[in-house]
Amino acid sequence: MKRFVLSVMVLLLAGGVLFAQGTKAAVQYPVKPIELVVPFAAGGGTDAVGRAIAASLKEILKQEVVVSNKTGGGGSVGMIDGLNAKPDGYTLIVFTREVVSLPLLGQAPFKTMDFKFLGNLNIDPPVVVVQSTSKYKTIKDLLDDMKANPDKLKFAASVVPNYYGIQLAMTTGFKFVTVPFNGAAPALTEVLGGRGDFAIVGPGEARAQVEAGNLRPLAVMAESRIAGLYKDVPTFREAGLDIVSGTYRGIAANPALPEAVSRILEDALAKVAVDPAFVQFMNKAYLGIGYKNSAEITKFVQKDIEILKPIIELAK
Amino acid sequence: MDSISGLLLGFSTALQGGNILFCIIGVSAGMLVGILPGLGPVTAIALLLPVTFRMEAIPAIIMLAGIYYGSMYGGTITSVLINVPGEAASVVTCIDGHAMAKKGRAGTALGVAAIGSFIGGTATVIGLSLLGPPLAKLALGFGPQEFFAIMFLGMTMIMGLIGKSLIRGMLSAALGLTLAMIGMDPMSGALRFTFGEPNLMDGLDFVVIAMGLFGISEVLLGYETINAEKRVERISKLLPERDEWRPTMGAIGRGTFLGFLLGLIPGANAVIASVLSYSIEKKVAKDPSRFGKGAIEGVAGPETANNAFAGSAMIPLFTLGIPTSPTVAILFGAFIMHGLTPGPALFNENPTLVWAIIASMYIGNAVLLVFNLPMARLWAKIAFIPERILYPIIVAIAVVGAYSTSGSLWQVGAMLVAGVVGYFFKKVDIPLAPLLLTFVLGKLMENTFIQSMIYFGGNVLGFFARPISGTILILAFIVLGFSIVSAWKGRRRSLGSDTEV
Amino acid sequence: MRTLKVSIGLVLVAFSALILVQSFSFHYYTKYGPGSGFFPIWMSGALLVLSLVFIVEAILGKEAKGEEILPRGKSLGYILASVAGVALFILLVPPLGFTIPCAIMLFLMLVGFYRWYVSIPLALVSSFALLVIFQSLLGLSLPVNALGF
Repeated sequence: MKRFVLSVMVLLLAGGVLFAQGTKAAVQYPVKPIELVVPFAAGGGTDAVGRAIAASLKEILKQEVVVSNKTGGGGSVGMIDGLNAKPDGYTLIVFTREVVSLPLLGQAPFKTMDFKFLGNLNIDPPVVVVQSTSKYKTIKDLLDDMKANPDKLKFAASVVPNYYGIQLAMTTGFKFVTVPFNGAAPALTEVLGGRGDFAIVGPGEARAQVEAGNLRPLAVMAESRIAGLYKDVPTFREAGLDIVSGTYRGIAANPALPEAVSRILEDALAKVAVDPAFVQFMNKAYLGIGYKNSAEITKFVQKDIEILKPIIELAK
Repeated sequence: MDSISGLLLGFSTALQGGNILFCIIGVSAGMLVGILPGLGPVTAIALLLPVTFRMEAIPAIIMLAGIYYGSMYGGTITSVLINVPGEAASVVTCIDGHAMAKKGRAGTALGVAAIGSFIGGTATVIGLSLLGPPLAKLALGFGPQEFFAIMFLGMTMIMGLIGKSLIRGMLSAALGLTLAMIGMDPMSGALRFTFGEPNLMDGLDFVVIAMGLFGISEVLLGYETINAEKRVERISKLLPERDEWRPTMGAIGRGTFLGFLLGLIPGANAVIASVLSYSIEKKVAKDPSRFGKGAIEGVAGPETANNAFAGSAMIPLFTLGIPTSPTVAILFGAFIMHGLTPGPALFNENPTLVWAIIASMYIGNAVLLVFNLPMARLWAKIAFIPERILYPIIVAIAVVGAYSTSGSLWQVGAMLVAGVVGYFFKKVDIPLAPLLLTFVLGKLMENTFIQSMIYFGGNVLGFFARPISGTILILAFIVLGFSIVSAWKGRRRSLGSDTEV
Repeated sequence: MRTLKVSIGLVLVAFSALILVQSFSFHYYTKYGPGSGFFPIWMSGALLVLSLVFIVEAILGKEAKGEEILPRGKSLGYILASVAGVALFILLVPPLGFTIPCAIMLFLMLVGFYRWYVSIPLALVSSFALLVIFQSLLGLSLPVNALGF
């Protein structure tokens, strides 16, 4: 009986596979639900961005987009899952900056450029914040004190290795003590409680406390100032330091994706970036929209490898 | 905002149609998982967490919190009726609760547990409403130094209380601590002990380990005795006899106080509350020999204590932003998922939410009393699903639960291994609760220790230079000293008897 | 039972020794405080010592009579069936999707109590019910095959 059930199953399966391949040749895409792999747990920032993209893609492609959280390996388990999926466009991955950092750390079973980057939708440059009662009024105050008192100031790091902190130390040549915390919330609590001197976090993560007047933003690691709450906060470049960094998230797939399917998806992602529902969600969650098309993001990622390589060498 | 106006605001939110509905759904689901052996609040909350993603934050968290304290009520039923604890905190209830059931007093045992749970639960919610805001103000002064001290104290209390044998208890705790080291190192983010397995990079998953150690191993053990008769069908009177009211209310009062205090301490858990309450009742009673033979205080005390604990454990969550027990840790995750950071700032940032949840706990406790007292007979029927049907269901649900923690079959395998390990550990009386608790606390303890040491510039005596951390650490050493001394004298038997989970 | 205790002890000794040895490849102490090897060395060291004590205690302790490591007969069968069921589930899900392996797992656990013509439909129906409950009602994503079950 069991064997019978099994063989029926195998036959049905084979039929399903043939059916799927038959439709692919005619480039009618998508004809069935698309799986969007989010390599981080439900509830995090990547999950939020992934679900917002999925909701908009569903409207644009007129097809169900199912989000599945495949966690583990600091993101590598989900990303490798997506990379190994059949290149039919029915499995897509949300990529994050880990796509660059994990291979550099030697912690990923893939290379950064193994992926086909279809488009980028979110970019968040981090902000340096201090307690609002702190004596540091400007980024210059902070850096001057850091220079005068090497190895005295405490940096409450929200994640380790902290690429923002290392980049700051590397570019300025100043020394400070990194205290590792698990997430932006405890790191900011340290700054609020006066034990940490400064933190470097995403603009959304510090928003509530900046709005409440408990934290003071000093500088952003962006190419130009960011709009909204942080519009008066200068960039590091304005302070004469070439520090540009940040997280980014977009959609990637197996590089063997057929050209026609790839084009449909790239066009759809361009529409997601201007979809009012998506824009509204991203603004509400204080996540920055930064659309880059396939060619742009591929170049951007290549450039980021060069930026992160020396930082990660130092972190190791 | 003061407590009274905050609470009024909370009630006005919690009593809205949708919110009160989700409160009832939450406590009912909690009751159910408490009743089903092997399914605990941790699994239930973890399973329902992704579902609540699409919900508003307030009803979602009201529902998940309801599961948490609702399960404390449900756990009693199977303990009393079939001598299988529905969840870990109800283990001690088995001792006298089941003995009462064998005397045909199952109804009284369930009734007293329900009344005690209601009093303990409500009293601590009152404590939460009154003490929450002042504690929130003090909380910002709590740094990693204080957290480390508190966790160290919690660790010594676990050591001092659980298990028949100090060696086996410590063995279990050390294994939990060692397993917690797997994954990324908190100092540099380097990988430790992952053996090249990407699924281990983020460490072992608590839910998976817990379901294996408790749920799967319980099923495997249960199969050994599946053909033995162990049913009690009669549920008679629900209220105690007249002369039993005084000792019962005394036990409930002590249980409330004990559970409330322990809930405040990060690192304690509901099991410790019920175990400690049981041992106190045995000491206080005029005739301790009745214990184990159906003493009503042996049910009333521990059941009250674990519910009081559940309410009070929300105080450090709300005010300090730290989870005090595995279940609260999952609730913590629920807050984060809804973009809320439990902690000092939450009372100021989102008072409506905090007070609505507190108010919903008053409502939930009242709902639970209604469910438990008159409906005790009905609830009991669920526990009578034959094990040959119940066990496959438990295993299947655990498998699905393990898979969905990270979307990977690897976790199902990990759960199976944990289940087999738990099965053999139970056979040789190695308690599993210390393992699970130190597994949760281990990483937190390492983090806070490293953070503190960086602040102290590498000088460990820095802990004693801070008044709070110093005092707590000295207290911890006293507790540790006492439990070692009493273990030496062999008196531990009376404290920690039959607490194997 | 003594054999089981000693075996568990030996497994724990091996595990803690493995962790302990690896721990020494990390920094024990750094400029700023304890390094990534500090805690693991102490924890696995403690586990190693306690496992050894546990073994000694087991060898010196009295052997309780009439206790067996594994039960005999039917009970052993039930236990093995459920462990094998979960193991088979893990192996069969990648090629077959969720429902069939789950039904096989349930069948193995049920067939010891019910005849096959009861167990098979029961297993299939429960497995399908789980899929509907968790996938459709609760919105979890289960490992389904190309046909969606």
